[in-house]
Amino acid sequence: MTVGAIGLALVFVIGLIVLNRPGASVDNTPFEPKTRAQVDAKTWGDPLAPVRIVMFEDFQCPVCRRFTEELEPQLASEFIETGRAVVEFHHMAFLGAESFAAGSAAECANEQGAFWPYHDILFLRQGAENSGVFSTKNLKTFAGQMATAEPALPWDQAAFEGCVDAGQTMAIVEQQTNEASTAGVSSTPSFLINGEAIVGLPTYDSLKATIERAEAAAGGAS
Amino acid sequence: MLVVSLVGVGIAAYLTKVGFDPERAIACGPLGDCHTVQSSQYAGVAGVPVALLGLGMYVALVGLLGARRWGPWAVDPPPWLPAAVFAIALAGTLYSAYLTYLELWVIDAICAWCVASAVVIATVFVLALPDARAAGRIEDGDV
Repeated sequence: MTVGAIGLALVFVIGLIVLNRPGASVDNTPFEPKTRAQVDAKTWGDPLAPVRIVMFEDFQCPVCRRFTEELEPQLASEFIETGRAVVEFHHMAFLGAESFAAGSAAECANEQGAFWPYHDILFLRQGAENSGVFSTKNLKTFAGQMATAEPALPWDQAAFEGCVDAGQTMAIVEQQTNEASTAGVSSTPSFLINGEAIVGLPTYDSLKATIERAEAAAGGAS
Repeated sequence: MLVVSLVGVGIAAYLTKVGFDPERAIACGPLGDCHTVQSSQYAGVAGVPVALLGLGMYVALVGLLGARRWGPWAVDPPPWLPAAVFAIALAGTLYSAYLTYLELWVIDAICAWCVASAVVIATVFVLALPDARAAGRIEDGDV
């Protein structure tokens, strides 16, 4: 009976581990580019909007992915596209080497004005942390997939790959991460909404309330 | 063992509550980064929060041990009881060790509450060993 119980326990644990193991499998869901108006480098929205949302993200952060998939569409339609808020992306790469690699590649995409679609495909392809999903090879492949899905986007794959190989954009990711840490950011996603901090994934209602509060304060101050 | 398991219920209940309420900041104390761990993909198995699995484990242990101390099994506990407690504690200890490995080498962040739970279940495992050994000897006819 004891031996049987031990055997059952081991089978159960092995099952849990198999279901929850790190893996290098890449999500190959077809990439559908979003339409974003008023994009300027890593800023999205009207630069004169009364509310500025500084968004700190790590491309390996699964909660950041949830924000992008679950909250961002509504945020876009209600606040960004209506000129009420502008979003500014900042790197906060703290989940390991592949966070820096992905961020650095995103900066290479930024050099060609394609930061936001590359940002989207990185989160779409996100997998287990530091498992090879954001290898140099995959980062280049994702860029090619992005360009294929968005043929109107002016894109030089060779230039992107050269940029990734050179690694010089890593300094931008490191600098922004250090600045974020100095400012007290310790996890992602984190947001500064006209200076008011939100840490973690908010509900849409609480995010909206914070933005509207900032909007009212900005309207009262002007 | 019962008291230790009750401590485990408290820890797992707190982590479960946090898991269903992501806006609540986890109080981690001066050590670790619970938010990173709790928001990683390893915080759930097939859609079930790991903390909830842990809570279920500790509730099962409290139920079995409570029944043995005060309940219908106080006088005549079933022969399978020590093996069941041992098996649950063994599974919990092994899986907690795996989760700790993930924190250290994959997630790169430590959740102090999760480590506390690992220590608790490992303690229950050690405390359950003598009864399980005794039950094994009875099964073998050595006693």
